[in-house]
Amino acid sequence: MHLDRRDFLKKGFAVGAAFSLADLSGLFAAEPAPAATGDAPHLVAVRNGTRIDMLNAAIAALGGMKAFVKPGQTVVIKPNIGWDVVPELGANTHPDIVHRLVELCDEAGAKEISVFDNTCDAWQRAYAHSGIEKALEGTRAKLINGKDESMYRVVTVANATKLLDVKVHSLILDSDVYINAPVLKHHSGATMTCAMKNAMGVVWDRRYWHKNDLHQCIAEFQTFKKPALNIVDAYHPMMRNGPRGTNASDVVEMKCLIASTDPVAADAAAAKLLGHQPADIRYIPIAAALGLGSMDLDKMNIQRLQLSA
Amino acid sequence: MKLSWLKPLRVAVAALFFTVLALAFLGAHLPHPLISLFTSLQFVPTLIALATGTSLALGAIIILVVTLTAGRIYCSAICPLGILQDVIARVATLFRRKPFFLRYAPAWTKVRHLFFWTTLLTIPLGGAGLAVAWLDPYSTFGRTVSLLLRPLVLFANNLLVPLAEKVHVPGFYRADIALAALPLLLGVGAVFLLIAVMASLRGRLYCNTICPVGTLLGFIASRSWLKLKINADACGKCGECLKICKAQCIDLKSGTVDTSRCVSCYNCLAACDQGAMRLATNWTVSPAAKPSDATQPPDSGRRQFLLTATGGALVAGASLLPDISRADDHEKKHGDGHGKKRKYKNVVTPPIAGDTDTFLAHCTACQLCISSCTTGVLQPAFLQYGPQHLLKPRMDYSKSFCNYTCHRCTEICPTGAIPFLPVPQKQITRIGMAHFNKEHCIVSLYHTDCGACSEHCPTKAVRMVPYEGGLVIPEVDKSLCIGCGACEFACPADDKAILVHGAPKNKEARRPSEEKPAAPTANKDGFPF
Repeated sequence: MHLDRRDFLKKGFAVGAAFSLADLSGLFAAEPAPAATGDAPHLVAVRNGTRIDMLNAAIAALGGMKAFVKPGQTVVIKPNIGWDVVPELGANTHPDIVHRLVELCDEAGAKEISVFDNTCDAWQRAYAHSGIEKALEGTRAKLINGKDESMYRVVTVANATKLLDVKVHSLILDSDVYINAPVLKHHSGATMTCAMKNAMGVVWDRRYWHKNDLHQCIAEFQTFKKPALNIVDAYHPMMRNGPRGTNASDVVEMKCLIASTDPVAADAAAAKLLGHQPADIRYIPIAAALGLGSMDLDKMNIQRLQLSA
Repeated sequence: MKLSWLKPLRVAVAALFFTVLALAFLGAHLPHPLISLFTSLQFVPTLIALATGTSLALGAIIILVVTLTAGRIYCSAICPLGILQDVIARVATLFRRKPFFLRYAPAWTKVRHLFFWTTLLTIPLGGAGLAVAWLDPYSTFGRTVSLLLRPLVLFANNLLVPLAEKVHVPGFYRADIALAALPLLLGVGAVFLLIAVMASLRGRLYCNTICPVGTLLGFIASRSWLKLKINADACGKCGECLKICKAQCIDLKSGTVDTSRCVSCYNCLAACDQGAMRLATNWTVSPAAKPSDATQPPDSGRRQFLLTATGGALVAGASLLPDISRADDHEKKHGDGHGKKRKYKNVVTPPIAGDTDTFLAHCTACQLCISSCTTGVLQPAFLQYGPQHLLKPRMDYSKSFCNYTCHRCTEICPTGAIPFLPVPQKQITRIGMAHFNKEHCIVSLYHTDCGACSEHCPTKAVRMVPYEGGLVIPEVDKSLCIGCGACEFACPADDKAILVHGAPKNKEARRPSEEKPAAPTANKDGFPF
C-alpha cells in the first residue's frame, strides 16, 4: 500500500493523485479545489477521512504544497513530539501526518526537510515511541535533536511587552519554510494547546514563558515568527488530562483536520472543536488584537470538506 | 599437553568483559540483557543479590566453584578492575626506557586479612555500608569509568557533534555532562590513582593486598583442584615466567607458585618453552608430597589470621558513622507528623517498592543505574543519605525527572538494590510525594496562568482547580502521586512552588483509572464553525 502510493505520486500528479486516493464519494466534484493560491480559503477544515486523506485534501484546497514550498527551499516541520507515549494516547502529532507532510514537501522540491521538537520527556524515547522516528525512516527528512542548546540562538522580539528576547532553534530561524504541525489537546495550564502554543517547542526556555504571563508570551512569539502553514491533527483530540494524557480514554475520535496559514484562525477553529469559545482561550484574543490573524470564524472564508458521508 | 593457548583465550574473554562493562558505565545504549549478562558474573553484586533473595543470581556460586576448580579466573578474565590494572600496567611499560620486570615478592598476608575481615565484618554490623561499597572491585571500576572517564568521553563527544554533522555521520548527539560533587570526584580519583600507581609499579599488588574478593578467592584458589606447578626436572630457571608474572607469585628458588596470589592469567604457560610450567591436579598428589605442601602455605598462620581479624573489627566499627541525614527542621515548619521520624525525608530513591534502608544496604554505588538513566535524573548522592552512603543513586529533580514509561534502572541493577519492576508496576510505585506551596506559585504571585507542574504530571496527581479571576491553580491528589519529580523539575518559580519529598510511608499509588471515555462535543459530524 505504502509503496504503491509513493510510486503513484512519483508520476507527478501530486494533487490529483491525492484526490483520487481519497474516498471522496463525489463530494469534491461539487466543491472543487481552487487552482491558484489567490483564491485559496482562509481556513480549510476536513472531516471523516483518514489522516492522510484529510491532509491531502486540505493541502490541495490550499493550492497544493507548491504554494508553500518552492523548489530548492529548506523546510522545517515542527510537530508536537513532546511526550514519550504511543500514538493512541493522542499526546503527539500522529506519525502519518508527519510522514505525509515530508512526502509533500519532497514532491514540491524541498532541498532539505528537518523535523524536531524540544520535547518534555526524554527526547530519544519521545521520538521513538511517538512513531515519528520510524515514520521518517527512508524519507529525505532529518529528525533533529531538539535538546541541544548549542542549536538555539537568542533573538529579540520587537514591540513585545513580556517576551522581550527568546532563544529559538536555528532551524526555525534559518529554514526558508516553517510548517507547524500541532496536535489538538486539552491543556491543564493554558486550557488548550494547538497551533500557537506548539511554538513552545521551538524555544529553549519554556519556564520563562510560564513565569511571565504564559498567554501573552504565546501570542507575542507569533509576532516574531509565524509559521507558513499550520496543520492541526484533530483526528482524536485529547479532551482532558492534557497535554500528556493518562490513558486512551482521554481522547475522543473526531476525524478532523484543520489547515490554515493563519495560526489564530486555526486555534479559533480548534477551540470550537473542543467546545470552547475562541475568546475564552486567552492567547487567541491577545494574538488577534496584535493583528496576527483572525479569530472571527463567521467572517472567514472557510472551506469545509466532508470526505465520507 | 601444550597449554599456551590458554593465555590468548583469557585475553579474549577479558577484552570482551572489559569492553561491554566499560561501554555500559560510559552510558552507551546497550540492550539491557547484554549488560546483565556481563554483570551476572560479578562476584560481590551477585553475592548480595543471592544473599538478600532479590534474585536467583548464581554468579557468585559459579565463581566460587570455578575458583575451587581452576583458581582465580575471575580476577583475570571477568573482574573489570583486574583487567583495567592489566591495561594500566601495559600502558606503563610503553613509557619505560629500561627493560622492567617484577621479581618474586612475598605475600602481604596481614594487610590482606585486615582488608578482608574489615569488609566481612561490616556486613553484619552496618549493612553493606561503606567497606563493601568501596572495596568491591566491580563497583570501584564502575565509579572510575562513570564518574571520571564518562565526563571526558561526553566532552569529546560534544566536540565531535558539529564535526559529525558536517561529514553527515548520524548518531552523534550532544549530551549533558553532570559532574559529581568535587569531594566525591577527588575521593574516587584518589582510589583510582592508588590502583593505577600500584598496577604500574607492582602489577596485581592491589588485587593481592587490598581487594577482599582477591583475598577470598585466593584463599580458595590455594586449595583448588587445578594449580600451576613447576616441574623441577624440566625447569632451567631461565626466569622467562618471572618476567611476565604480574602477581609476583612465582618463586624459582623454592620452585613453587603461590596460588593464593596467582590470578590465572596463564602468561607463564605461554612463556615457558621448556614445558616446566604446567597445570597440575592438586587433589591427587602423592602422599609423599603432602607434608612439604602443608608446611608453609603463605596464608596459613592461624594466629596471624585471628590477629588481623581483630584489627579488622575495629576498622569495621569506624564505618558505622552517625547518620546525619535525620536532622532537619521539617517538623518545625509543617507541624506534627512531618519529618522527624522518617529518615532520608527529602532524598528520593530510584524506583523501589521497598524501604530506603534496605535499598542502601544492598547498593554498592557502582553507578550503573546512573550511567544508564535515560533522563539523567539519577545522580550520585553526596551526604544526602549520610556519609556511609556516598555516591549511591538519588533522584535529582533539579537536573531532570523520572521518565514515566522508563524502568531501565530496575532492569540493570546487578545487586538487586533496585529490584526489577515491570513498567505498569513502576508507574504506581511511589518514591516520593509532591508538596505544593501556594505562596511560591506563579498563579498566586502574578495572577497569570501557568500549570507547568500539572502539564508534566504523568498521573494527573497534580491537577488544576479553579482559582481567583478565572485562573486555575495546582492541587495535589496524594493518592495518585508517585513522586517522579516532573512537577518539581518543570516548576518555573525561582523558589519552587512544588517539591517532592522522599521516603513516603505508603509505597503504592492509585492507578490513574480508565474512567468513562471523555465526552465528545455536540458536533458529531459537522463543523462547529
